[in-house]
Amino acid sequence: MSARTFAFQASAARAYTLTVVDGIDVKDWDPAIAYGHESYVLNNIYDPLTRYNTKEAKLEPALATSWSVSDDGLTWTFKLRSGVKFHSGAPMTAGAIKIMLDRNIKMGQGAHYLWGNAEVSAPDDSTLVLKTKDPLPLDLVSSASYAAMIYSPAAAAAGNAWFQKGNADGTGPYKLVQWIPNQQIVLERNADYWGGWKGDEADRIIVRIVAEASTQLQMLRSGEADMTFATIPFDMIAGLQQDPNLKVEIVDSWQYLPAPINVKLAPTDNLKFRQALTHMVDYETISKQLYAGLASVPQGPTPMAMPGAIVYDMPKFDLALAKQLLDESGVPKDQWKITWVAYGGVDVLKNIALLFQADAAKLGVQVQIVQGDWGVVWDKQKHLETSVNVFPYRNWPDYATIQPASMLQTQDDKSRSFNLGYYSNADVDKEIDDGTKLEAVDKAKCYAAWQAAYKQAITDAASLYIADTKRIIAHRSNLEGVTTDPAYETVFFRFLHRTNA
Amino acid sequence: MTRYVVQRLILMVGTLIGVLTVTFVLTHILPGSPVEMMLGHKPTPDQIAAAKHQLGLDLPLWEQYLRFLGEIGRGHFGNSFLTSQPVIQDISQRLMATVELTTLAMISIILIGVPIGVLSAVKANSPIDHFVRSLSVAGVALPGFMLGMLLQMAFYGWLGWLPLQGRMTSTILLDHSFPRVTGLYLIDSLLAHDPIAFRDAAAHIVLPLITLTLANLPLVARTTRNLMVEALTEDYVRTAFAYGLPRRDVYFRYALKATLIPLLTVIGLTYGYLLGGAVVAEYVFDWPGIGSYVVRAITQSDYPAAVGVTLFLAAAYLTINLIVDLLYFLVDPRLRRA
Repeated sequence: MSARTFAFQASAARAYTLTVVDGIDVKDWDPAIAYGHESYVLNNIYDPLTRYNTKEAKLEPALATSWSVSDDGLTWTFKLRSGVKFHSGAPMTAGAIKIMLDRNIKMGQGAHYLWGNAEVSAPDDSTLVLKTKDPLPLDLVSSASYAAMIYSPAAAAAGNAWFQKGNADGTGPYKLVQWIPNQQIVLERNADYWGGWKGDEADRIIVRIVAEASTQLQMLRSGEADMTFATIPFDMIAGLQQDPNLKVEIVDSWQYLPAPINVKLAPTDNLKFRQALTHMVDYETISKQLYAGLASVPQGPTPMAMPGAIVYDMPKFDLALAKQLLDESGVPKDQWKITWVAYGGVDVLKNIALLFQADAAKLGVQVQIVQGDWGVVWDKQKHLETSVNVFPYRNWPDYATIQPASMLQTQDDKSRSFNLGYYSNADVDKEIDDGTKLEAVDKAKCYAAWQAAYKQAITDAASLYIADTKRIIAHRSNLEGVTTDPAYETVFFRFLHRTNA
Repeated sequence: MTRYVVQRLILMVGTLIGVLTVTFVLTHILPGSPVEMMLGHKPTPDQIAAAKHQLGLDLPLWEQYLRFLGEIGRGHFGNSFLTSQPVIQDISQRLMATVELTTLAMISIILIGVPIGVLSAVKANSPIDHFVRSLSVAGVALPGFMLGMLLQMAFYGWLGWLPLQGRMTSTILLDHSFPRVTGLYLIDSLLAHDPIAFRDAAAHIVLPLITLTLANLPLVARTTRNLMVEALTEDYVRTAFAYGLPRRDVYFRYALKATLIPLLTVIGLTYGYLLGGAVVAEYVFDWPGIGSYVVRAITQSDYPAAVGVTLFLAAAYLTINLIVDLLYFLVDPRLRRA
């Protein structure tokens, strides 16, 4: 299809502008609350203290140039970069960050809990000290996509209502200059950015909010958009890859698909039965066919790109072995019936459920697929009487950690979050606690403890690990510098440039 | 007439309370809790408990209902889970986009549909009539989303004459900051003497306007035709022809006038339907109006937004019906005397 660019567009474009198209508008502009998709915009407006480099598996300086922790892991000291200013012109100081962190913690929203109610002090303008009751990896927390973006005291004083009108005051490479809800977000280059500019970057980034996937891709094909950050339907990817004007980037992600198996609900309260289920998942077909090659077969309970991830002896698709385990389980054949969630109308989750249903039927196991919105099925799963046997859901960490507590540590119904299989093992609880105490001071020992916990959970068949997924970003071939990191669900706009700009 | 208006207004309040009750019951019998939708992907149990308390979801149902009525009475529809903004603010930001599109569509439907209907009736059973009727059937049969996408492919993809989506080109929206006096971009850009913005806004509205018009035109055209066919067989029309009155006068001053009451009813219903039913056109063309807002609200379980829009549309529908009823008095003198 040869599309001509809409004539009025070119006449109005004076500044060097790049257009990014996305399907979802920003929900929370307040960095203290933002805890979702909006981080892809906010990460270009705000900076954290530290930034995680997944490729090199290390922390890099951002607004903090160096940091250290006391021997007991309870006191962190960050030395700040000098001469950095917020977009409003106010200086970025330790006092400013104290105001911001105190506000985040006091508000108690978003991912505030990562800071563990830290006591913040600013002995001088360039020194920030954080004290916690328990040892926490605040160097890693400082690099998080959520609750770690530094904003100005003026913004903190203006409060949530000010942010929600589409205002921002960070230190990042781009300033927010316009937000028309559900239409567009416009960012303008921060000429004083502390990271500097090469000169070929965009003056303005326009993020167009376009709900319909086919419309997003038409804009991309015609050149009206330079890049799409929206989720592209798998069946459209092959078509995009054949277009010489487009390039499809398949990048690593920390997103994966675990599926806790309910250990309190029959028949999955039986270990052998659960182990049988782990051999009934056709992992290769799911990654290669259902995800169209945009996922990989898990080599462990967390994606390999994550720090502390190692290869485990994972169960393989083997229906003969599954049949043997089913027979050994002692569960009467007329009770080989399980329920399996496929939430939110997400096609791939439904297809995975259908594939599993078909394979299970070959062994005489009946699978009832339960559908519903995420909020609904998640709420139901947290109550045993309304829970299902297998609960696949998309997961990713808040920062660079393989911390298994939320998924594997014993939780009561009141505190249940992501231990959706009701798994409880005293040894695993202890390993998790041991690792948590060490995360701030001795990562090697911490990871060893958590790896032991994961290993035990795999032996106990506490969960299926179905796929490690990737992120797809499509852009015009003449757009270069599409830089991503799995630690941040974003594309860093400051590296983008058109080759013919 | 005043008494009639007061009676209708009282009835409107009753209907709205009925709608409120139904929406309250529906949103509360659905399984699951809205707080998980509100709090993002990993809320802590403490955050969930705090949000439930904040929303009053820990109160008995009857108390929640009274609170709900009280809040709505004060104009508080709550905050949208998806936008985190007050629903009333979301609706007001999007309302004029929908009004601009639907009002232009309604005007087009009347200006095209009524004359086509009259022509079809006057030339009943002629090739023109068959052509108009076939076109009407095709218009009804072709789904709005398909028509919209075909228009996008033709006028954006192949010809490159018209924009694909949105209400205005991004850069013009940014660089031409004309004052939003009415919220109707066509009028505001004219008031600001900004021809570039006007031309851009006009170009953007063409395809959604054609989609909405073609999808709703057949009802008005066919109704006009059927009413006119009936009116043309009346004695007074035959008498008028016998007296030798000009045909145009007979068609438009006598026959059409007799069809106005049922036609007004259909037009009123169509406008009400357009306000709520512009959903497909708005979604396909990313028109930032109420329709695209409610699609997102429904598909992502944004209950406050869905309830807010439902109430708003119910009120708009009732108001349009009231206006249509009042227009009857203008059109038919017999009603004024009754």
